[in-house]
Amino acid sequence: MSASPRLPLMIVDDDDDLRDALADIMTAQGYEVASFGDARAALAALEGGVTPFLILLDLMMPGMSGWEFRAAQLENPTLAVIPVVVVTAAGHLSDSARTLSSVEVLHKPFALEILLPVVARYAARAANAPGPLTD
Amino acid sequence: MPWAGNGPTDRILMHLAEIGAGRCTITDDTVASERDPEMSQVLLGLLVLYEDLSYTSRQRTEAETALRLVAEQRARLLEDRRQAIAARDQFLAVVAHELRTPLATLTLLVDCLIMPLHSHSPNEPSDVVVQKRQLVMLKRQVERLTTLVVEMLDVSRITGGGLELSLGPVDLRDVVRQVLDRFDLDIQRRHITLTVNAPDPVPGIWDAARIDQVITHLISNALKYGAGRPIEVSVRVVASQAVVVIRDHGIGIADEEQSKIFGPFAPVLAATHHAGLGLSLWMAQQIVQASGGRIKVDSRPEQGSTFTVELPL
Repeated sequence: MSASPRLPLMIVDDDDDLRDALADIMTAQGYEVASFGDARAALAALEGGVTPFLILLDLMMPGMSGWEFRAAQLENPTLAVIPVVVVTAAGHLSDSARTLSSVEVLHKPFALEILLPVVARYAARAANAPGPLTD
Repeated sequence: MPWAGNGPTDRILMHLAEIGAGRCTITDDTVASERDPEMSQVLLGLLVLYEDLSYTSRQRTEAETALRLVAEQRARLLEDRRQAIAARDQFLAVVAHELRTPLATLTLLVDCLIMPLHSHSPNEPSDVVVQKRQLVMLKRQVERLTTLVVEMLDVSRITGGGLELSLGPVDLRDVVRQVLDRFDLDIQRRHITLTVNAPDPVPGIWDAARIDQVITHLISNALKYGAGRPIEVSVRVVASQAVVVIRDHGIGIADEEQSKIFGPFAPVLAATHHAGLGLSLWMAQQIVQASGGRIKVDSRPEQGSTFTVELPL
């Protein structure tokens, strides 16, 4: 495990089973997980000081969507640096999704062997990065 | 009116002018009361002429009205059809989207269950061996469902005119190799001899994922319809084009069916021999055409099929 266990992985997805499955898998992989079924709550957590090494972000969610979450995140310079990987069931992302920022996208369904290396890569980056992220 | 005179010619000309203008003052009484028998005959003739002309004119008007109604109805039907297709595509997109989320959970959980079982111990109890086999089957079925869902979504996207290519440098030979690697287990399970002739790299600018999809469809078809006989694959540059040829020696396709296999929902092979949406070749053609290339088939029943994909370099 190359993950930095002190920094959490944030999962934002309104689908309970998928969110729990992701959380279980990532916990078993040794990551600390902060999962949210509601984007507003996730954003509030970020604003409250939670600093994940990566946010796995669903797009189509009731209330605040993933696009809105990302837009709000980018407006805050402190939060804007936190990397996001979009996990979406939308087969085709609209232009607005792409123009928000050049984030990595995983199309649901994705295999575990696809997901794990992506998460591990961001964990390793956070662990190697200088500054507050390696705290 | 210039017909000032009252001579017979003047009267005839006057009536002709009236008939030409779409009216007629000659009546049966006029004909009957005409004292000059010759003039009476002429008037009768003019009256008949007027009635014939009126009848033809009415018929023409009626035909024009009918034509206009048919055209309006046709436009309405076309619009209804367009709306029905749009509704279908929208529905397919929603269904595919809704199916993806549970599939994502299933995929992850199956992967999660399979992962610790990769290691193999020599004294494995038989129930564990069975469990492993069942999990592999479960994973295969989830993958199959995923393929079907992705196909459905692709259809709605392509028919909606939304097939976008993400172009980048690609080695076609690598793409074909990767696809064949994925089919390796399947090929072994079916005891099929598959030979690859790809002596050199075939670099080009294409959408790697989409080209992968095309090759996957073609290899999958060759396996499905290849009747377990050998399959040959070649990748090479021919006349400034990248050419992939996939040849099987299976059930083949009858001449009259060959034109249909690239149609959407091609029921020919799908319904007769194997399950599936019957979309794979249509999809392959859409992708190849969007990439500026073409795909063709040469096939004979019971002798097999050769699919050729040509892509511009």
